[in-house]
Amino acid sequence: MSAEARRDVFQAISDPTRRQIISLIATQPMNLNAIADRFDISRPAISNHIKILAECGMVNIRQQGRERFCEAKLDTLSEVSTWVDQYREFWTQRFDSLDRYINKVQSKNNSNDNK
Amino acid sequence: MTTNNQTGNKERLTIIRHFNAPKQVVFDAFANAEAMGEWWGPAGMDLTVKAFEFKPGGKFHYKMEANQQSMWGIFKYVTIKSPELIEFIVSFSDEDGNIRTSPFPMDFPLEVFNRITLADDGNRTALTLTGHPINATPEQEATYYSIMDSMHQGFGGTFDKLDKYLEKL
Repeated sequence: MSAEARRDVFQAISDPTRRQIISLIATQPMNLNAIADRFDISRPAISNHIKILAECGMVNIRQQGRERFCEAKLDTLSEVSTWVDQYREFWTQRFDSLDRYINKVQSKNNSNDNK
Repeated sequence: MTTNNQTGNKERLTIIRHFNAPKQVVFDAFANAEAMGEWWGPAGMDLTVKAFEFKPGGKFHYKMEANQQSMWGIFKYVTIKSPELIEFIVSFSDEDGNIRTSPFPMDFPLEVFNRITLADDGNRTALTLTGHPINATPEQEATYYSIMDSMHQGFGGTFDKLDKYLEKL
């Protein structure tokens, strides 16, 4: 597996423009021109980002007449969402646990002081 | 107790928490095997401490177990200054302490450098955690930073909306 051939959701979201594109189409499909209009960079550049998103399995491109509609693949998105939440949760839970431990140690120390 | 995730930091991962205890008490919770054994294991998992040497160059090697699944992890301590600084490298490992790839379904860095600093804040202690990948390939760094950026740059908000949407389906 070569580095260039590697296409997964985390490569998809490693670029800020691609993250903005996903945010834009997460709630409703949009055609390519409408998406490109929202950005200062060129239409071919946007088109290339969308191609990468499609290769990473995050976006479906539907031809509808002369228009190409881009829609987010929600199941792939929710996989990323779950993983990012888990990572955030990890340290939050560790520190919640540390907090409980420290409160226990402190209340022990305080009751010793009062003796 | 507060949690802040800050953006715009080179390290990308920054977590700040406050604890109702002096610095030394918070520091000590990291500094001995018994204390780490008590709080480091995630809820519902059994934590076994295989090695614990809290000194620069020393290791904390542990096993977490739940539902007949076990996972080994390792901290390699880099810098320790009581009671205010602990720098360590976190990785997944095997039973013998060799570094292993993460159980995550992606090209995640093998080693992540973490810095914990403790500072007085009134009667409380402010703990700041920062982290970044080390010895990583460019692809692994991209994976790590895309996750951190997603955590910090409003992707979460998008996903919150998405989750609500998915619940309606």
